[in-house]
Amino acid sequence: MTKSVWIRGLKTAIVLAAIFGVWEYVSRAEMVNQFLFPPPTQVFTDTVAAFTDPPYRSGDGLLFQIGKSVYRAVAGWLIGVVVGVVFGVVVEWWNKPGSVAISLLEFLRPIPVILFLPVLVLVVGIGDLSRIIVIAWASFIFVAINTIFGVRTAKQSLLPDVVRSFGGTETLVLRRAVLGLAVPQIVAGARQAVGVALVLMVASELILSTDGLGWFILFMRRSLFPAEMYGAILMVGILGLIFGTLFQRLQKRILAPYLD
Amino acid sequence: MRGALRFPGFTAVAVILATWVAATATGFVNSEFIPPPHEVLRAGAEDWTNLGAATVESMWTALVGYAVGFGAAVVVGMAVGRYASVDSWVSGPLDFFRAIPAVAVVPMALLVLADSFLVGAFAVAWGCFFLAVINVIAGVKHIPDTLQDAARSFGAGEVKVLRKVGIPSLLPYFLSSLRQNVSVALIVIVVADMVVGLSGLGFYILRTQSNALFGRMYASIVLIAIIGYVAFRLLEVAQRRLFPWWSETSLT
Amino acid sequence: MVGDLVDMTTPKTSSSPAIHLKGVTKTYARRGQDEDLKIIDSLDLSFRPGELVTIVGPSGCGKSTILKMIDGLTPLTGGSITFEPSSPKPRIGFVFQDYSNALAPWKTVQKNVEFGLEIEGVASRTERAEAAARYIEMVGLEGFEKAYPRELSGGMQQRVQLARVLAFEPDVLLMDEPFGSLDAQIRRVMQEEIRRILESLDRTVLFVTHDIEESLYLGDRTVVLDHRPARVLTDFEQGERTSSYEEFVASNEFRTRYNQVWSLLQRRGDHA
Repeated sequence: MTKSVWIRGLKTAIVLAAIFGVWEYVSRAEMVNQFLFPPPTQVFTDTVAAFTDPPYRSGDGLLFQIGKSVYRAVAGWLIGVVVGVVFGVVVEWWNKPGSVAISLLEFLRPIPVILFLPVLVLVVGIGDLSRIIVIAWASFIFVAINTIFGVRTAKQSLLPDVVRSFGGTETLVLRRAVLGLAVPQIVAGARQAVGVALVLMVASELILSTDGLGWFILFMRRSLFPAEMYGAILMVGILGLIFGTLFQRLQKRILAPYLD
Repeated sequence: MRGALRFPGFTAVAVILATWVAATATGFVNSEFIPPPHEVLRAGAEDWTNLGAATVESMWTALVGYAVGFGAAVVVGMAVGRYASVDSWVSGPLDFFRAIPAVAVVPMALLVLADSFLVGAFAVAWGCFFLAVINVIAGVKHIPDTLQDAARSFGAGEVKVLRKVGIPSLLPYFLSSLRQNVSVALIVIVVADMVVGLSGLGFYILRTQSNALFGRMYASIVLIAIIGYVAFRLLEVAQRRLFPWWSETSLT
Repeated sequence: MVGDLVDMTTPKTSSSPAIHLKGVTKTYARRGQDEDLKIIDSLDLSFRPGELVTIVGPSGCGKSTILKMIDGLTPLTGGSITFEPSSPKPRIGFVFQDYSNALAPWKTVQKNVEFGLEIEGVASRTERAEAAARYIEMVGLEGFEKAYPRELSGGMQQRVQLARVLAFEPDVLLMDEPFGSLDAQIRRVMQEEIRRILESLDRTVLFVTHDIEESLYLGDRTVVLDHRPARVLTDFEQGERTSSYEEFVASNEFRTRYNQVWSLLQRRGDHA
């Protein structure tokens, strides 16, 4: 890591420490309602305690809820990425002008999928599947659109013709030239899908649900345990940062040959 | 195909409607859960006053949050993009809080603010702010340096440079960020309505679902979809009309 | 100093001011290093009114910085730059190399050409439009008034920038490698055209380039600068020229000059 990255990290740490420090002071000095804004140290200790020993009488702790959420997010994201790539490649590779599939995708893109959660819950039940479907659908949209653009650009490049001139079949053109060229765009789509998957993970657990991180946040607010609520909200942010970093690592490895 | 060219969603709507009608008519789906389109239309028209009131309330709340979030993003983003010293202190913490999705702060807003309008507006503002601020920062960094120098060479002071070069080159970034924010604002307001559980479109969906009034529920879903689609396309047209010179490098 | 020394006493009739650089020094702080990078070290140079001077030197020798300092876009570290007469404050026009970033993408050609007058605060629309029309014609862009910069080729964009500066009616024209990013053919056309335009203007023009051929063809006087820190290697005037580009490049005079400048830069470049 370079020096400037360290300095940046240090500055970030200083600002965050200052924010939490002020919050701690303001709360301890009772300048704000201490019940609604508990000091960060209390948020920390209560949240850590809630990992295994939640403030409600029985049931699983925060750690279990996080696991539940992560499972849904990862499963939904994976399904969305796989289906999105397959769909995008198939649709664009054999694309005819005015293709219905692409205009369908364009039309469905701005419609918030979370609207359909209440119906999904009715159809497939209140468990994991309804949440996974919602996450998968949103991830699918992002990955499919990016894949289509990636394949479209790849089709216009010279590499497909190079493969053909070497006597390659169309399947070989698709496998060796088009897919390879489309990878950076596909990865960009998968990256957007990471963010979307996390948002929908929480959103879907806030509605008609009985477990997961989103449910925990809402349940803590309803049972009036603000410290645990803040802790769980911060956990969502931390999860986001972890996923973001992990994906960045993966992206670097995948895209290494594409960068100079 | 000519019609499809003029209205890009035309074929898509036709396909969706045809599938919907076919699925319900053949009994492929349970028409109690998913009534045919005309039933949905009828149900929506029947409950027009409630549906209309819920829509107006949600849209007003979302609009206020959207404006506040975007306004704050412009101020913060311009400072961060313009001054490298501010950037190095602020962008890290911004990334930290940006990782917390707007829907996750809804319960917190509900705890602290305890008012359905404020909760919705706050959550929408949170979501729009963090999305827009990135766009604004990118925009500020893309203000052409040479053009700023040219303006200075013609005798412009810093205020004039901002007015004649900065703002005009930022405007398309603003608009494209407003466009991206439409779907965020809609998702957040619907989720907030559902969580608060008092009023608005999100609550309308939940209530009709639990009362098995599926026609009305689908009517409200279709309505939100139409609002989102129309707002998105309108801003797209505005972008093309207002900034014909602007070509967005990527559609996604 | 090698080459002919320029006689500064001969006055030339022009409404343009003379420009005097005295002990001009420019250093940049380098990140993580104690010693600053010295780009220009106490440079003395004078330009007479109405003179067309080309300044040639290797890339990164600080040629552009000199122009930016004259225009007040970059502060001096030391020394002074004065105009004679010093009042009224001379109007300075700057043509940037990076034409695609120098034009406003949201303005049509017409509005881009009016940009300088707009900044200056010329309120009358008709006055601005008339000035723009005159110079759009001069640079040969009639018919493209309503086009946006991205619809134009590089050469045409650079013409827009030129018209914009001319419409500002500057006393001094500073041109920073204006053709540096154009391809060879367009460059040739532009060189002939710029010569025609500049001759008709009778303004002090400083034209920076790293192309020796271009500097010899365009300049009444040529200043050759050394690599960092910039010092004057040679400074000479050329006689009256009536020949076309092809004739000029084939002439003995050109070949001698070219070899002289080339060997000077070459020798310095060896241990740079």
